[in-house]
Amino acid sequence: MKLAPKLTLLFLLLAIVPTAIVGYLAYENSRRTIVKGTIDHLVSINILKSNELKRWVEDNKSGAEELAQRPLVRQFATELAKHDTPDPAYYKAKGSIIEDHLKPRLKYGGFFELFAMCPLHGLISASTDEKQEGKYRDNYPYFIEGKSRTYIQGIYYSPALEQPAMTIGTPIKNKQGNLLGVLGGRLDLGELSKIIALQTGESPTEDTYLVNTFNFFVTEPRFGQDYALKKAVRTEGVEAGLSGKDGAGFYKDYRGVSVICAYKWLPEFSMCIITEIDQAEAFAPIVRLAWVIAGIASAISIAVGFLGLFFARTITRPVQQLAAGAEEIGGGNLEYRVGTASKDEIGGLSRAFDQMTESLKATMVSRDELEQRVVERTAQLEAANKELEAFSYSVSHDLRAPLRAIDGFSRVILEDYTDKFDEEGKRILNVIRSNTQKMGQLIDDLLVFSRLGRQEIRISDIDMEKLANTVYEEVKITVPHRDVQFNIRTLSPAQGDQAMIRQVLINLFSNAVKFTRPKENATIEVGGRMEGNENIYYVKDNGVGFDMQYVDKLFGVFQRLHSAEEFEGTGVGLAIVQRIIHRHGGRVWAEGKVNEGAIFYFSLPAK
Amino acid sequence: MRKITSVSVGLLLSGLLLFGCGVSQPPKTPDEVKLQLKWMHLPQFAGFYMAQEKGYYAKENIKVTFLEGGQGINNVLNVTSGKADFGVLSPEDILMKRSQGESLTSLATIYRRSAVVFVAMADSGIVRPSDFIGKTVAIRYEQKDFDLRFYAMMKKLGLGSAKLKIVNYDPDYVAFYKGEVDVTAAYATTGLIKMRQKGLKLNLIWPSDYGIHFYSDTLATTDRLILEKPDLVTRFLCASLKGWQDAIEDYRQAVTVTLKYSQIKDPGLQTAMMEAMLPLVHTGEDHIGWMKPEVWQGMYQMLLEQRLLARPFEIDQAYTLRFLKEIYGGKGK
Repeated sequence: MKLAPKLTLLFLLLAIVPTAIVGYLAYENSRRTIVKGTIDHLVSINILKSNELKRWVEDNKSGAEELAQRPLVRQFATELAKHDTPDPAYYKAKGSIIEDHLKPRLKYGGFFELFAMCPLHGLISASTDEKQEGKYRDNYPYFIEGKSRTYIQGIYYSPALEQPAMTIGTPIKNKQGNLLGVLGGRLDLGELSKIIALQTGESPTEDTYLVNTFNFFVTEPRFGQDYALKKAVRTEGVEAGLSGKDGAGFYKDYRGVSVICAYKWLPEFSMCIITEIDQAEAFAPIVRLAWVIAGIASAISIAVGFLGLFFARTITRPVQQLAAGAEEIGGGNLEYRVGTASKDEIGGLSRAFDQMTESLKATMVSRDELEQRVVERTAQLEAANKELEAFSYSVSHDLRAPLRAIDGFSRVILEDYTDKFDEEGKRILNVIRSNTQKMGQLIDDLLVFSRLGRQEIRISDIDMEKLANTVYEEVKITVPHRDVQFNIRTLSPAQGDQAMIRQVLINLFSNAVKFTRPKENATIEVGGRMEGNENIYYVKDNGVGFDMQYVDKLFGVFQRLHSAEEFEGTGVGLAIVQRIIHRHGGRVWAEGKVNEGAIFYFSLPAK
Repeated sequence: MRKITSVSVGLLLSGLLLFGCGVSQPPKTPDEVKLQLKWMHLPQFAGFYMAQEKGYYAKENIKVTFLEGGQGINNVLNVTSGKADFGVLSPEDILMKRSQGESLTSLATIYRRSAVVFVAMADSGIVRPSDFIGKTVAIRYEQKDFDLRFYAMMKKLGLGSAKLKIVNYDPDYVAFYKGEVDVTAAYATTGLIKMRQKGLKLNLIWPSDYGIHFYSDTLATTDRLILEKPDLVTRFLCASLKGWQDAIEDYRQAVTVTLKYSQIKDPGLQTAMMEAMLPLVHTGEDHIGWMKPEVWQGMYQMLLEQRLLARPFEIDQAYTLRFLKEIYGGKGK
């Protein structure tokens, strides 16, 4: 991945991670607060409504009890119990109890029917609803239990009323505690429904209802019609509430909608009260918050993304420029400059780079100049050399003719006019001749030497051992009276111009023979070895040797370490050797000691 | 307070036992069981259909066939002869056959309140049995349900010798609508609904308001089956009660299921029938199917008084709480 997207991503990551964490924490925190608030609200509704319910029941209970304890009610109840067959006293008692006591009580609310039952079979002897009179309530708990205490028969389905009912039964007793009858009161469930269904706020989904131990709705839930005692409900909250617990939960309600619920068991009624609110409604603020957080996070991400891109560019642009510059300069354009005004590290790097290019350019220029100068000088030198050679050749060549004339005429004089010269004259003429001949030899040698500079080298394989033997034979012939011991060791073959190398060996061997003359046991050794990528050969003698301090002069033209009287020669031989070997790309050098002999080395490049 | 709570928890747990019954039936050939219905397929039997449709019988490894009742079908004989294994029978049939020596035993009562009601027009002024005196009453019927309850009620109220004009019961209530009949008997689950669908305002006189506590449909079988296959009886009863529990808990669903069986394809009528039936099955007091000895005693007494029993017998032979107690953990509530 390239630097720019990498940096952008890094920026984005650095921005999103903390934003996400903070957002999540904020969300979680708010969610908890809202959930807790909602549950607290639902629980308080349950407490409020169940207290209201208790109060309502207690009020009605004490209302019924108060009625049953009225002296006149007791009196009439006695009358009703006494008279089995309706007679005027019976009707009077009944009329009084209904008109003076039961009906006025209805006006206070709470009951929609009040009635008196005979203690034996629960016969309704007097009722505010005349149609109910004459019925028997012998198997109703409110009668059976109501004979001994005030009893509320929970919410049950009344076939007579064809609707849910709740009935209080309370004993009517005389002062001695004998049972005179049972007062019954049907509670107005409309009031109960009002208490339970009362909306405590603006919430469109808050829903409170009662459920009995048979899992049946006791009051109508907000989103149900005709559910009371007709439909069972088995949601988590109901089951928990019916198992005697108080608490809260999250689950799907009777409609299958997710709700938050608070449930509370009401032991005195054997029912549980359930208050629910749709999660959608309860969580609406959290959802809004989540959207806001998500929006902020997105905005931050986008902003950081762009900023990241921008910063990444400011970092990578000089780097890219530098890279482009390096490429350009690498391609040979030393005039190119990266040039940056930036003061940071990358700016420093650019400037250093430009400086380096500058220095490189300077170096390159001076090198070029040098090369140019070398070429020029070499050309000058070559021209001078050629001139010099041409000069020496022509000089040598031109000198030979007069020398030959001098020698020739000297010989003619000696031969044709021998009788005209005395002995001294003859000797001088001979000296002249000898010197001209010497000079001729010198010129010849110079010519050879000079020719060597121009002569083309024809490289071929040379069997050095064979060549050394041939040369040895030739040299030996020139000194028939000398007894020289020649040892030729194994010599590795060489490459070079056969004629020239032959000249080298002739010169070296001749020298060795010449300088061993004073020695009685002249020994000459020829050998060689491979060393690195060159073949080294040597010629060793036990002759007069030389002083190593003059070793530099050995290979110079006309340089001689001995006088011509001592050892004849022109002083060109070793110069020729050096020239030939140099032209082959080899080296020459020598070691020696006075009177102890000398070793001449030369090397030739190996293949 | 704690005490009440724990008692209630106990109630709930015993209720839960109903749903836990017969969980681990090893896979084997299902027991084939025939159930004789009291009448044709009606919402009256919704719980059995629910048990079938919801697979409660299958879970108990029982394969149930429903035998329809109706005109000319002797439900009781079908059970006593073994043609059917179980029957939905009226308690008076069980008591009468028992007194004749047949070995029928009630296992559970589906209808804890009788659906029989006496109906008068609202403007007739007839609101209680004492108003029947001198009126024309339509109660005479092939089934003994109506006159049995009627006479028991009148007798109990000391009106046994009252002057009445007794006429035949007409399931179409033609004479009643015309005003020729003042009071007619009806089933709250069928006839009453028809009348109300006509928009009539009615006064209802319930026998139970006058001390006549009759069960209606009970689930019965023979003593032989109880002796030979008590396990099958438990499983069948358990699944059936579970079906009934479901039916009363969601009667709208029960209507849907019943429509699959019933000839009556009117959902409105079916729903009305089901609604009328629910409070008779679930009275809000005891578990579905629960029976009380005093009610059986009362019914026996009434039949005895009306000389409908061939000879007296021990009433506790006619019903057993053994299976209900086994299923509900011994408690009625």
